[in-house]
Amino acid sequence: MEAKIALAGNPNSGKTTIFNLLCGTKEKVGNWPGTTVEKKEGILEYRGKRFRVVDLPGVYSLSAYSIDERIARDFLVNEKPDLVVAIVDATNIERNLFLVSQLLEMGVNLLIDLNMMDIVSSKGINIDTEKLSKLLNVDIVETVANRGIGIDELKGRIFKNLSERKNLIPLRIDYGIEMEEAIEKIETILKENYETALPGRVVAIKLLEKDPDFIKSIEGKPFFNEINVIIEETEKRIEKTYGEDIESFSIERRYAFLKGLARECVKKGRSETASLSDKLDKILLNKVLGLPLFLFFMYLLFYLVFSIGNPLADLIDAGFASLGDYLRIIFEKQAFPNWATSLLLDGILAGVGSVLVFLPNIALLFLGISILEDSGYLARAAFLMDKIMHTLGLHGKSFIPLLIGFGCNVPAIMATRTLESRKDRLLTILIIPLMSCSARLPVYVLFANAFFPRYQGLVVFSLYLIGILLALFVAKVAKNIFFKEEVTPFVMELPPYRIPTLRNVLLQMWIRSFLFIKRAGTVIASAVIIIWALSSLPPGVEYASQNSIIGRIGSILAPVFKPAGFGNWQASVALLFGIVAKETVIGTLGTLYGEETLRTTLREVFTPLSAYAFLLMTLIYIPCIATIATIKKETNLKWAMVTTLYSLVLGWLVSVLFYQIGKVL
Amino acid sequence: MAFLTPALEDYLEGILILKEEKGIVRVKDLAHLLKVKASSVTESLKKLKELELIDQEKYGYIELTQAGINIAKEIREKHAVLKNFLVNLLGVNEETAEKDACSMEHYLSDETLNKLINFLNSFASEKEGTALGEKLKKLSLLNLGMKGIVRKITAVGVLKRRLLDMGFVRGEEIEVINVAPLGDPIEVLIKGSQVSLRKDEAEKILVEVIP
Ligand SMILES: Nc1nc2c(ncn2[C@@H]2O[C@H](COP(=O)(O)OP(=O)(O)O)[C@@H](O)[C@H]2O)c(=O)[nH]1
Repeated sequence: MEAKIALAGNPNSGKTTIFNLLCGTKEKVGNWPGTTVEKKEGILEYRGKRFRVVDLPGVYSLSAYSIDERIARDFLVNEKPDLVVAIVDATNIERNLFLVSQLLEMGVNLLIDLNMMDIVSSKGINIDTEKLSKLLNVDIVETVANRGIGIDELKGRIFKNLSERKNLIPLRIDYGIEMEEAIEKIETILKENYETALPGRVVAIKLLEKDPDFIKSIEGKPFFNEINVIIEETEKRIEKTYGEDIESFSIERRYAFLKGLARECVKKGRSETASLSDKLDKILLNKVLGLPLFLFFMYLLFYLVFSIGNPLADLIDAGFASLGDYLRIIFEKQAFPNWATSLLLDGILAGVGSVLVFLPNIALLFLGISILEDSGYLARAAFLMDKIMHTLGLHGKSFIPLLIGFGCNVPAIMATRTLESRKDRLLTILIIPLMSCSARLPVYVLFANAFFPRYQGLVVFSLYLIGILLALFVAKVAKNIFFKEEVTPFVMELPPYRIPTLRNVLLQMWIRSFLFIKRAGTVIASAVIIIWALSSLPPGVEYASQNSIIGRIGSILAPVFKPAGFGNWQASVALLFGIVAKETVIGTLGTLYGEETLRTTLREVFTPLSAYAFLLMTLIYIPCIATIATIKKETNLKWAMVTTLYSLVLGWLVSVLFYQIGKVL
Repeated sequence: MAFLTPALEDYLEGILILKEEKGIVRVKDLAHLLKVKASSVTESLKKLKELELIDQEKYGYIELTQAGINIAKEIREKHAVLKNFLVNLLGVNEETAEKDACSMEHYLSDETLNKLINFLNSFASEKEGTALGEKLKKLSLLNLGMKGIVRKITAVGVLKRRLLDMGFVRGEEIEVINVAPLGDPIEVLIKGSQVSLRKDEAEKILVEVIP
């Protein structure tokens, strides 16, 4: 068995950078079981040995109040890694060592990596590493991860640490007489009655802090009452002496210990002049300039992802089309049976093409996002937008994914991974499909042009607006249904601005694109093939005609849409195809009504009222298959289903309501 | 910091006060403030410089180093707490309290200081409206650039724990360094890191404003 190493640390301490340096591209990205939190695992190879490295979520503490913290804690307790490497932002020892001190109390085998040493020296801070190492009784390595300095040393120390036997003595922080007495009593009770995975002292402290998980684990046990009495007594005692509950008090004591530690080992530099980061903030968060600059950056992001990405996507699309045409000629020469040609080209080739066509957008999006994230601006973007987004029941960080949604829902959903809280993330994902993506625009334009030639712009604009309003409505409702209980603090660190490293950015781009193909690719491709099959069967029918399976399904569905004013089978089939990709709605109508006369035929079949109802349906109903697949892979089947169902019902309701009310007026 | 004599501590405190009042600190002003001769000021400054607590630049302006600032602030906090205790609880008259606080501050241990603060806090919260109680302000009400010392966290549950974990503990200095263009959230500096929080979260942090 390979030794197991866990990386732990505060957010923004350089954990991802170090993980990437240790494992190269040999990493596996998945989710922690049962959660939407990403789990990264990799293999570190050193001197012919292999080590399994797990990247724990970035946390400030091991209290179990957030899912991230719980994951980190459970992993440490249940999986018992052979070594924990704690990544510490050395510019802020005191705050970073908070987590480290908890790890040391737990008695895990620890190695401290003091990262960001370049900034430490440029700030003139002096850290007495040797003393710190002695006081905490752990080995310490210094690194500058973004330039790869010290990484070999780190690998060497990991290797050395794991090849020698050590006698680990958990760290002891003095919590003051009141708590210490209680800890001792509880520890004794535990020792006599109960097997704990963690040192008794840690369990006792956690119980005193009333950690819900730990309390639950002993609830109902015969000694529970005895311990409960001790907790209550101590609570009263501390409340009386210090005017505080135990939890706050123990954290205060821990910080007092760390303050002392920092005082012994860290010499602050000379009085600091405003750093570059502060100066940048003066501009980027400025009362007047902040928002315009933000919008400008968003424009750049949008431009990068779509104005540069879409031509590339078109190129891929065209490439596949000509490849198809070319192969079709060859197949015909070889006298392939028609159905086989169609399966290979309209089914499989088209399926693969419809996956790859997303790649430019996704790669460029993650190029943009990782630059924003690594530079530290992403947190500022949330800071700037939070007031608006919060009024709408969302988080400042929801803004970017929603914006991206107007280009394409698929990368938008992938962009929600910058949202840490499960609630905010799922809410954002749920409403992204209501952002009119660029694939819906051609449908809007065609109908607006055919039915409302004088008000085209207004019609298209109204649809975008309705999408946004519905999104707000859905967010409100969903919040009450699914996330009533969950409160997540906004409190968030704004990391100093940094220049992103090319390596990190490219790696992100590569990993995300690869993950998209791997995770969503098969689902999308299979859906395309299924739709092909439905359109081509039973054998011999004309593709997607009324006699094909899909045509028959369309005929069955048609009456359902009668109240919305478009109860013809062609419209239903077009909507069915729209599930594959919304722009195919037009193509399908073209095939079914005849390309040349499409506009006139449409005017015969639809009234302006039913045309607008149809557009409303196109806006709202079922997100395209790529979006559903991405939701499923980013979260789970449940949320993909929820999105599909709610949008279908909502779309039907809105278009029916619109048509019926319109008819009366 | 046991190596500093009370006199030297007074100098550090004096420099801090002058710096905040006038922006620059000159030997002359310092001598005036502490009621000593300029020559003895120069001598003490030399010692402080050796300890790397101050920098003396050209033109004779005195600057505290970061370490110097830290110590000076600690002393000033002790001074404020003691004076508060003497005046508001014991009813000592203002002038005497000032003088006594000045001498007591040098011998007060961290532990006693903390207990004293706790005592004052609990006293203040019992008798709403006493001096310290009036001094406590919600962090959300602080303007840009204002500083305070965290005195109480009234948040509960997840928020409380998150704040505590991130270093919003009693006695910690906090400064409002940015306000979002739309007025919410705000950004504060605490324990050397920049943290943003919504106003309704900042409301649950009570601070004592540092003038
Ligand atoms: N100056 C400097 N920057 C670093 C160092 N290590 C990482 N960074 C940068 O800090 C930022 C955050 O790093 P990341 O690895 O994403 O942090 P994580 O949030 O802990 O995963 C990135 O822009 C890195 O390039 C370092 O040692 N020195």
